[in-house]
Amino acid sequence: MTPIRFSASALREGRWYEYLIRFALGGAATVFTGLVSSRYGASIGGVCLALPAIFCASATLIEKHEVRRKRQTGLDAGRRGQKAAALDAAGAALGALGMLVFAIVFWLTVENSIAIGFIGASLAWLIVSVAAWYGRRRMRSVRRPRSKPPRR
Amino acid sequence: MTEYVVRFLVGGAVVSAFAMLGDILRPKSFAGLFGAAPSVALATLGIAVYLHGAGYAVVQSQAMIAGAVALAVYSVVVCHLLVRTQLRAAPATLLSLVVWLMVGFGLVTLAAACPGEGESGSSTWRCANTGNYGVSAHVGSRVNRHERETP
Repeated sequence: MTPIRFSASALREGRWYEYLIRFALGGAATVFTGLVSSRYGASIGGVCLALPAIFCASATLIEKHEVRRKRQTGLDAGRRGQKAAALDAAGAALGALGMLVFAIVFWLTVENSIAIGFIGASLAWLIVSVAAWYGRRRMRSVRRPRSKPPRR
Repeated sequence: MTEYVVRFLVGGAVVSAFAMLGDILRPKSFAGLFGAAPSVALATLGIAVYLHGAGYAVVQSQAMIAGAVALAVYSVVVCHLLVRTQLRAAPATLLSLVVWLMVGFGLVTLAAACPGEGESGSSTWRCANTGNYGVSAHVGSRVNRHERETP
């Protein structure tokens, strides 16, 4: 059975202003990249395509939600918030590998076909990221004794 | 001005879509993959292709390789800071931006210092559309070729 699942209730935990902040940060990061590209050239602007601006907001929100969830159930949050954000960061490191492959596939294909460039790069990102995540999970379950349940 | 408004709206929409997808997926480490989704890249490269052509987007995607390596290092540093120190998520992610900047721009500088395989063989290049100079010989050759091909 796949360990990946959807939890639509997570959307209800978020406040409207949190979504607004993420929208604004995403827009600001895209504008910033455009400004850097036009001021300093495409090469410098290109580095900013992997700017972790959104990750900063996401990790902070994950920590906040975890602490809030624990408090609502009457439990001491302790360091649970930081640990939840750390798990998100571990996933982001694997996602960065996918982003690396995205950039390489886009670079190699976009001049032949723009559609193939975008679709191929996006698929490459998804496949590499998911494969890396499964690989890491498999390695951790091999290292961990069978008696303990896998950490999520 | 209109270009930047479009950038803001498109970037905000794409980033929000990936972030919401990350919110509803479990486990958390899997959802983290979407924290490093190429959302800003998709929006920016889409606009770059539309406004400047594929050659310009190629240069950006080559430099993005350095940014992606920096993002991987950054994420590992954030993870270790959160686990091994008492830092909260906001200061840990903000402090680690120094690491991202150093690795990302360090790699770009390193690529510029190494002799490229470009047609021009030059260590600097001129952007076809903005007229600004970049730093990589190899990527410059692609832009220059695009410039020659574009009427």
